[in-house]
Amino acid sequence: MSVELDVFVGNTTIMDEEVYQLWLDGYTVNDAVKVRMEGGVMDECEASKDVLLSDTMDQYRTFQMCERLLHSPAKLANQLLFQIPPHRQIMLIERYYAFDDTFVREVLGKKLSKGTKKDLDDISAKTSVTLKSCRRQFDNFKRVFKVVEELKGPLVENIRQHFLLSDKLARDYAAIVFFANNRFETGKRKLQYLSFQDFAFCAGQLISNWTVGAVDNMVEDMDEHAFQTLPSLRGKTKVFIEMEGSFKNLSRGLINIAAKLTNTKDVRDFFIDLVEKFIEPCRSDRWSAADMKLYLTHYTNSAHILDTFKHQVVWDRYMGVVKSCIFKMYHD
Amino acid sequence: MPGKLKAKIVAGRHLPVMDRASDLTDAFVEVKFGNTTFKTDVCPKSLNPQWNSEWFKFEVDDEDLQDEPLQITVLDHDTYSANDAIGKVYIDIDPLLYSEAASVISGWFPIYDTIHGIRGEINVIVKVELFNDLNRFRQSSCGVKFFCTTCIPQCYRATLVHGFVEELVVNEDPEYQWIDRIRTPRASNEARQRLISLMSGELQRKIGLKVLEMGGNAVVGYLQCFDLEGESGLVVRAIGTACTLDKLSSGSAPNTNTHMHPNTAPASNACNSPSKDGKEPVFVEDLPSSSGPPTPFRALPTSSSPPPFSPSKPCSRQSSSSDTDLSLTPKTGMGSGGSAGKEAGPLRTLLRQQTQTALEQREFPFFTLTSFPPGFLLHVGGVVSARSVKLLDRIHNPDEPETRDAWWEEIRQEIKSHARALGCHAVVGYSESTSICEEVCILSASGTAAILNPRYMREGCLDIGCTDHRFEEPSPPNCGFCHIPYDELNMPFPAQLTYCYHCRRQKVPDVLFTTIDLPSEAAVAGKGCLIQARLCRLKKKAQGEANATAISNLLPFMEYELHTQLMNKLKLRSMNALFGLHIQISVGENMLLGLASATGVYLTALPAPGGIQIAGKTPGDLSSEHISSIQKRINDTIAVNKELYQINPPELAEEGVGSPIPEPRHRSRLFRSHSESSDELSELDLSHGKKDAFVLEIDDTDAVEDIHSLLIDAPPPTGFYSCNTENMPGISNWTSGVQMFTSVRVLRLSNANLTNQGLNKIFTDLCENLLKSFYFKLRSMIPCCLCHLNFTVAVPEEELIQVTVTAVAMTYDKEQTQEKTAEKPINKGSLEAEEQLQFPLELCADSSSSNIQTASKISGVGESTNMSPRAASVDYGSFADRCSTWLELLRLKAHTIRRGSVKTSRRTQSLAHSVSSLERCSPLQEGRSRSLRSSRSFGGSSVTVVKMTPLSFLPGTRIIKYLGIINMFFIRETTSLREEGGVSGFLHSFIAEVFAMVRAHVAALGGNAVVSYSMKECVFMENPNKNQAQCLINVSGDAVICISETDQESSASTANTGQTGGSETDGAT
Repeated sequence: MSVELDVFVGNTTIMDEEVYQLWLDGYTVNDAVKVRMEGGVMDECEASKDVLLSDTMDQYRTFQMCERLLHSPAKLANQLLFQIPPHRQIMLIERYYAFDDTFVREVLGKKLSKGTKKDLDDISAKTSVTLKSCRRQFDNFKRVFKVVEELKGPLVENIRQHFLLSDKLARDYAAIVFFANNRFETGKRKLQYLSFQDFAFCAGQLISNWTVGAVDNMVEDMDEHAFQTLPSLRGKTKVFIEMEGSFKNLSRGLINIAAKLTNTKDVRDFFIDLVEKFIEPCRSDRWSAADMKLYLTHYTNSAHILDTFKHQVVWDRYMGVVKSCIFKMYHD
Repeated sequence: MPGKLKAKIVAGRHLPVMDRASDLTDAFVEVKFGNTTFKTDVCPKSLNPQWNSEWFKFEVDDEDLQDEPLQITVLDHDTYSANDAIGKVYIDIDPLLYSEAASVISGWFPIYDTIHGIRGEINVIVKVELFNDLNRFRQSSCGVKFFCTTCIPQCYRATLVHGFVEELVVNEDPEYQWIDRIRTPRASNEARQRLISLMSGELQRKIGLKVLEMGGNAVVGYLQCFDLEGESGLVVRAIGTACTLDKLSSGSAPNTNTHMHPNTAPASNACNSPSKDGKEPVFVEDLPSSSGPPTPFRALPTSSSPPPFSPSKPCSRQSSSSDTDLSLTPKTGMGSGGSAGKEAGPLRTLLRQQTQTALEQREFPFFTLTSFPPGFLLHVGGVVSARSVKLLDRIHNPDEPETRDAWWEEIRQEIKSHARALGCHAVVGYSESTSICEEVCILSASGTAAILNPRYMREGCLDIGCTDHRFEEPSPPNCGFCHIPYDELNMPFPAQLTYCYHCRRQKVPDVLFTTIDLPSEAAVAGKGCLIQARLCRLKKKAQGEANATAISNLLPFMEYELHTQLMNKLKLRSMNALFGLHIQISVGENMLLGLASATGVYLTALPAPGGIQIAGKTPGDLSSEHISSIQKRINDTIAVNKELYQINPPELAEEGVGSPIPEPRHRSRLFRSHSESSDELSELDLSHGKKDAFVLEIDDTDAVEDIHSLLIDAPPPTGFYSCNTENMPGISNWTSGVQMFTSVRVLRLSNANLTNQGLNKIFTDLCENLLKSFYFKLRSMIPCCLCHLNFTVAVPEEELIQVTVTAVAMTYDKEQTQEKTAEKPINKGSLEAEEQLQFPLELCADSSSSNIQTASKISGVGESTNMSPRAASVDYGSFADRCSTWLELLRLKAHTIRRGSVKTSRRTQSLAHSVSSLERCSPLQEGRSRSLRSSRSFGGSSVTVVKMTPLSFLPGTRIIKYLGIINMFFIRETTSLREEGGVSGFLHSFIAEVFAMVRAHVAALGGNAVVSYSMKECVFMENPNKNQAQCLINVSGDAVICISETDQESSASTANTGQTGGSETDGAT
């Protein structure tokens, strides 16, 4: 005797947020049932294991059917198959596109290609995020990337509109897309101490200050004109270099980084450069965060004192971003 | 009235990719009605085509308008090979044929393919212009309204109820025609869908004609069924109740009819009905028992079919025991014939005679309605039912479906005679059903024998309100229907009568079984609950006659067992009446399944039920400890149930119950065996007080099993109640939460050597587990009640049991309920009438509405039901226009993007800037043509929310318009079962698709809800070895516009116009 078929369909689609999360996390039906049993849901309605199993299967099926729609969230609102209240739709989308910071940290800056996808099992083992969940997250990155790749306009806004995500999540995706597009190096050992949120913040700074918004022309948008002029600064800032020994190096470092931004290939090393040329020296000198702040503020402002310095605007734009990135990245 | 049908194809969206190479589709549309076909242009390379076609006009007869559906086929154009079909939409244009319903059908319809399911959507506008043509010989019946609802629809008033209408049409099933061997499954499915659509159109038209003949203008309680007889053909049959309905002006408050609106508390407003039934001397009423000729088997002569087996049998007998020690009830002054000397007497008698004759003139005084305007139902006799086993043969002449007609005729005659035996002249809550296995078919009909108020039958006395008052003494409306209608000297069956616990003047039975809903005026104590009896009986496999004989031999035993189970479970819950009783017997190759569902309730007019007493067959047979432990469990269960269902009937002193109580202490016994053991009964008096107890005798292990099975019915968890009727006895303060659902479970019996007992257990567990699953899934809605739980069982194959359930979960306000129940016991005895006069009689209409309003106010009425209909659909047309201009710009942009990686000049950048800012301000623009699918809809959902419920109302709302009947039939087939997620995945998506299509049709009619929704048929067949499965589903309901109770009329009208207007513009632009 066995249950051959067992379905339950509501006019308003019934979805349990807890089960949805288990599904997203890549649990199998049986594992999900175990988790739910441990969670004590059985006591709620005198449910038995069979009831729980049947419910979990139903919900998993529903989610699988919805998954297609979640791939283009705009469809979810005007599809006819499932009647889902708007607040539920938002929840479904938001959770579907949510990701694990540990996972994304691993793929940040990597090419979102088939090759990377093949390595997901390693990442899964390393981050202890289930492979299924890794795939979903990876596919999400790829999907978002593909859609916004050809779009004009502000990156965050595009993502928000196309995928109906919350502002926070849209910003994170913008960061991921930005990193993937520019292939920033994030995997080096020296950068390991940085979390995804650190990078996301920096990406936000870069996107809002150094690009016009679209991913494609991000590189050229990095205001090559402006940066080309920066090397000319080199001589002019010498005035300040006498102040301290390390100052010279630091200043040179920052200016070199700026100069390198004109070259696509070198852009990739932006973060590693920041760490190597600036953060590490400072750290070895045991600068506090406050020291750092003071130094950078004065350093930025001092350029204004130079009468000969003609690129005030560009300088501010550059230093503004670098400053905030360094603040964010300067921790253990 | 010939008419002009106009259709316009506006656009499509979310189409599937039909051309792998380009990942696009070149779609066009064929619009077909009758034999005329139009085509749109091909819209090349788009998954969201904009056809914006001209108006396709069909000039047709109204007969065709009623029969034919508008058929829309979406195809993919292929230059070199045949065009591929993407899918179809069938639109039933019937709702456009009567003025009060919808005026236009406009909206997005899912494009449905029988192999692939829903594949995108299409926006269509359909209109009809009718010309007046008064042809006396016309074959059409345009203008007759149809309602699935089994009560008088909310915004109408019944001026006259004409009675029973029935019709059936037969045809060959395309699935079994020779051509089916050479055509594709798709073609075959489509032929079938189309045929059934045609047949139901024809059926509806023919019924409409009958209604017009009778002088009516509507059919209420319309019940249409399909019999898939396989080789022998396809039968579509329908029954209904012809009425003359008056539309209430939309401004007026819901009138008397809404009394039946279950929103109003059954007990609380019991009295705003100016009902005048009570005092009827002649008819006092009684138990459920149906009378029925003593011979359970009666061979009915049938002309055609080989051997007619017709073991028809009255189904619910009060207790089938042979020896209820019921002696003759002392005759009181209220014997038959004698009208108890009231001045109203003679008039009444006259009236009665009129009714009787009026009704008797009719062939079948049957009513498919289950709830009635107050005062309509005078007395209820009990359930009457008849079954007959037939052998199917090929229908030779589809135009003369005489055989099938004759079969049903026989059954109806039998029902009629049962009703008469119960002293009743009418049958209410009438329904018919079939169960088919191979060539054997069981036809069943059941209803409730009743005596009706003549007012509704007579022409010229249409005012429901108060005319009859003058000659009818107002009597307790809340007990009148319980009084026995038959002559107590000639009782059709053994029963025990007592004086009504309410009015003390008339006789009532100890138990009452009915197929109708609990009358709103009835006085109940506590809450109701779902009671089910389940039974499996094995049967030898056999062919033809032998098989039919075997089945007909089994039937009476099954009915008996089911009845016994029901009775025991009723007692166990300490209740004394069943409403909405529905007994289904389903036949399979090697077994019969029986499932009886009903809602148990404690009617305060009837005597309190006695307990259940356990007795060993012979003392010492089983250890007395064992027996007493069982007895204890039973007593405990009864006590727990009393608590659970809050049954605290007004305590009545035994003395107060009028003197002549026939037999103060007698008991009805139920014997397991035929042995003459009654004397040996151990006289354990474990009954409750002095109440009569029901004795269960344990004489073998079977009996022990049975008792155990009685006890395993778990009560619903805290916070849940369940019933299978329209209104839940004891709960009326609904809040807005509504969740309709369908659940299907199929069990495979792998164990070949099952006994009846084993099967029973499995079947019972199956049903119980289903209920448990529902409770669990819907736990977020607590406190909530599962209403209208409708179980359907089938034996699709040997060793498979299928149970299909459709129900609605509704939330209610717990606080309120408690108050209400607390005050309920006050209603007792003769005080009642006066108490309830707090609702002034003459203001009955208002009081009911105010009732509803208070109820809804308290519940904080649902914003959710109150969705703005204006948010309806999307403005696609204008969007398209804007898109096309944007497309060019975007293309340009894309070009520059491709080229200019690093070296883009400053100029492009600024262009990009400006574009992006533009984009920001118009969210409609999207980067690529592929992504035209719009993100704009976010926030305000573009899809109208459509609520569905199997009930005739939606809590917290008022129906302001009925838009027409929804009656849809779908077939889905797959040859890639595994890929679609196995049988469960397949059926899950199919049911979801059916819901989606129903909702889309309702939304296109301008509606926002479906009431009286039901899934009539869900036939599932699988062949896992071939990776194939097929499923047929038939659903029906009434499309309506409803508005929140709290809304004012003004908003109602704007909602209405806003909606239709909105959908029109959305298509037209």
